[in-house]
Amino acid sequence: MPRPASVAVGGYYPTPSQLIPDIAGLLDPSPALECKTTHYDKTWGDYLFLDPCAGDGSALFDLIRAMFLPNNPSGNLHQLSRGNGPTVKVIACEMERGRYKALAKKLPVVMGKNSHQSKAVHADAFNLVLGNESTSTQGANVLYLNPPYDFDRLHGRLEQRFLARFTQALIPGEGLLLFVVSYYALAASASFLAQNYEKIACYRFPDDAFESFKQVVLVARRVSSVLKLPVEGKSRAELQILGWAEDASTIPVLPSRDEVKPGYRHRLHSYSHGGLSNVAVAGVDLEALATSARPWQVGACSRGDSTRLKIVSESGLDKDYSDFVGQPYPVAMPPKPTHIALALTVGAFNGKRIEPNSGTDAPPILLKGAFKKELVTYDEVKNKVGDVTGRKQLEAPQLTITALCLETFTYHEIKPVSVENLAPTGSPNIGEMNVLDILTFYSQSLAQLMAEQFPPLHHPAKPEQALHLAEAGRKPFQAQSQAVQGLLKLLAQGANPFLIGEVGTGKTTMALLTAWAMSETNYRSTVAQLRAQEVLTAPFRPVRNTLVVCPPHLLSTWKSQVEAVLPGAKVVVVENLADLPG
Amino acid sequence: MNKRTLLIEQNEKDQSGKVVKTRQFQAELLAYIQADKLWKGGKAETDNIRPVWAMFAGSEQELRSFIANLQTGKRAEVPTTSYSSRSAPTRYEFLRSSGYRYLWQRVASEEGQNAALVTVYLPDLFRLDPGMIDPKLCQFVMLPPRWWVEAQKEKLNQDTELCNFLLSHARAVRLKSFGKVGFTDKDLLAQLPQAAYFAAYLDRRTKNPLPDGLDFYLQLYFYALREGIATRHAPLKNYERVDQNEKWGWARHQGLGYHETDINQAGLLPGVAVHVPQTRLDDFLSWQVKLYFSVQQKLSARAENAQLTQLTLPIIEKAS
Repeated sequence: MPRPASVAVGGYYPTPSQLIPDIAGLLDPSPALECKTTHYDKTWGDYLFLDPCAGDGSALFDLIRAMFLPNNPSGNLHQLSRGNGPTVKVIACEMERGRYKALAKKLPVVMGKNSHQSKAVHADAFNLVLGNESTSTQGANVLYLNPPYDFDRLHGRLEQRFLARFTQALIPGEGLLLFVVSYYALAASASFLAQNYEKIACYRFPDDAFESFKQVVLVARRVSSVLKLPVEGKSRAELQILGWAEDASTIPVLPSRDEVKPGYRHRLHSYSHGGLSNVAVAGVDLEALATSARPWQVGACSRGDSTRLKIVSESGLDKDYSDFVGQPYPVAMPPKPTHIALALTVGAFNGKRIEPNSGTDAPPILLKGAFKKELVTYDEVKNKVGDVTGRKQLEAPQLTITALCLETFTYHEIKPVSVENLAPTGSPNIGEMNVLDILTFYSQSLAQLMAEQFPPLHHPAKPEQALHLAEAGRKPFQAQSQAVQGLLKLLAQGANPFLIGEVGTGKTTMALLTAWAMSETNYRSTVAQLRAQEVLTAPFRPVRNTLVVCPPHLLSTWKSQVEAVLPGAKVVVVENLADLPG
Repeated sequence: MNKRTLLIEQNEKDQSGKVVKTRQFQAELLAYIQADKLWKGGKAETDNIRPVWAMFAGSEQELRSFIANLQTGKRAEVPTTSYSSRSAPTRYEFLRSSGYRYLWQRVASEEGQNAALVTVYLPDLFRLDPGMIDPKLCQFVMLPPRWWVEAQKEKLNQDTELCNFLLSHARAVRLKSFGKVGFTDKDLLAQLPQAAYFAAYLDRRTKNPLPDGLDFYLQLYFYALREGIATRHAPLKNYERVDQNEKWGWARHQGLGYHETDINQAGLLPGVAVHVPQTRLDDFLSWQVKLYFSVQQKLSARAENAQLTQLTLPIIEKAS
């Protein structure tokens, strides 16, 4: 990802000015300087240069001057067309206001009296509407493209998105591309370039300039019609571009202008009608955009269709009004009585009426556990005279349990129990109860609520829910076998299960048995059983290889455990990529 | 539609005096919310507006750069015109240290345009679940979007029996006569999704258990607004007065400093802000549950009587 500071300037990396004459040297303008004799008069062609990310225009204008006025770098192009040369026009677009102002200021200076045929546009380049583009007779002769270097959701790289968009504006069979990008960004454009361009050449910037952004300049001519790529494999051009993107040392260094042999230059056509009938900006339709606003949703959508957006879960709006409080929470295995405290704190009992055990005088209640944010000072900072100038504090959550008595409709905080006094008070008066009294007086209702609120995916007590696990080198204990069945059912529902247990509970064995049940050997049987129990709701594929990521000191343990649990399995310790089995 | 074009404030030089690249990107500020009393950054004395929530619109590329500048601590300002250049521009600031979150919604039009909407907000104020309860203060902003409320209303309207049941409780706790204008049955039912959403926020910020029922939620919502536990949008300036003759005038409390600007054009319905000490909230909830259950008892007694009358009336008529 690009740094935020880079995005904040719009990914603006101007081409080093000292390299512009050398880049200009890749193109041969001499055919354009030849005149065409018509029946009536001698005429020259029209040449359009397009730069959708023009910055302050320095690169584009210097390029044009270097091509057409090599001996007069500060001259204006009107001199060129004053009866003895072609007409050069420019369309330059810049999004940032300060740079656009500089661009608009330079344009008349460089273009001279021809400036009315050129245009500087202040816009997001993707909102440009270019008339007559993609027609065979008109378009741009040269596309100078030095876009922001960034990722793009659809095209992989933003550079490719620019390339795909503005290639359409080049004259087919004639237009030339100068694509200034980081060498690795060429990978995203390889296929597109191979289909849409010919005579592709690439040069990397000289070492001192290359160091900053690893830039190269790719020069090519747009083909007259899109080339077909081979059905299998890649075309030669694509492979070559991918090779450049892989290793910059394979790319020749940009030669100085005088070093380029004439035959290696990309020639402008001798007579051209470069130009676009219309250049406009399609501003963002704010009203339509505001109408499609879906607050608390993210993603990409098309106007009028929001189905692909995702609701931001922290807004809670992925739920219906009726699901905000006390919704059931499906779990892998049935909760244990000790989970009651957890259930209370996650709000699983919120709003649920809790009845006292039969035969007791306790009132029905609503019960809620919550963690209060408490700060505990663990250190004080003092000055020289001993005054406290600062405190270091830790956030220490404190559990409180509150009951609403449904006889008196009053709130009561339930007292905690201490390690020294682990006894219930025995009082049925809710105002005097401690946590143990709650468990004593309301155990039946709490147990029932636990079962209702935490429906298990796999219940060990129900034989119809059992999965028959394939035999392995080590027979799991009953509890381990049940955990493996729970893991498999979670995987079958598309979840990424966590297996958490203390040291020595057999997590390694259980993980290996889970992988074994999903291996190609046992896959069919496992899937059939999951299907029969109707718990298979997500794609569930056979496992061929299992990657274990563990601390280095556990590598040998894992190896020996795999040998013991799955005797036939092959274990490879991966220390570098070459160790991976092909 | 109200438009507010913002431009990233331009500094030609950085703090060390080095000339920086220009970054005057622009975006449209569709809507924003101020709630200065609800967060630390809002309490500092500054002329800049520090929204707790804002929605920007613009072309995707430009918005990306605009937002990146906000994220790096740059301010955005309303560009000055030649007429207004004497006065200082209105500046909007999103403190980098406050942990703002940015949500992107990219919208492609049929014409191939790429536009985007970006929501900027303080998660501590807007997230439904704060994780732990603040032992001193309960504060949040509930901002219901139109798309969600409409979908919920549709579901509710299908259950006539539930609606009638809810209305009988609403009538018993006199919700219809809140404010000078009052509320019709339809008005009250239209507020049910917001009431449930509000109760969900409150439930996650109090240690006290709340009865689970839409009738209670509706009562809680209206009473919280009336008692100043919560507020709807209110004028910011002290000299501006709330119009008590307006339908929701009774629910606007200037003291809480909650102010919305153009949120309806960002697909939102009016939000509600809460800023109340836990002790006051405890008292309020104790009162509310007592009120709720006492009314429930009366309603069920009345229903039993009605049932009894229905059973005995034919016998009495026969006898007479």
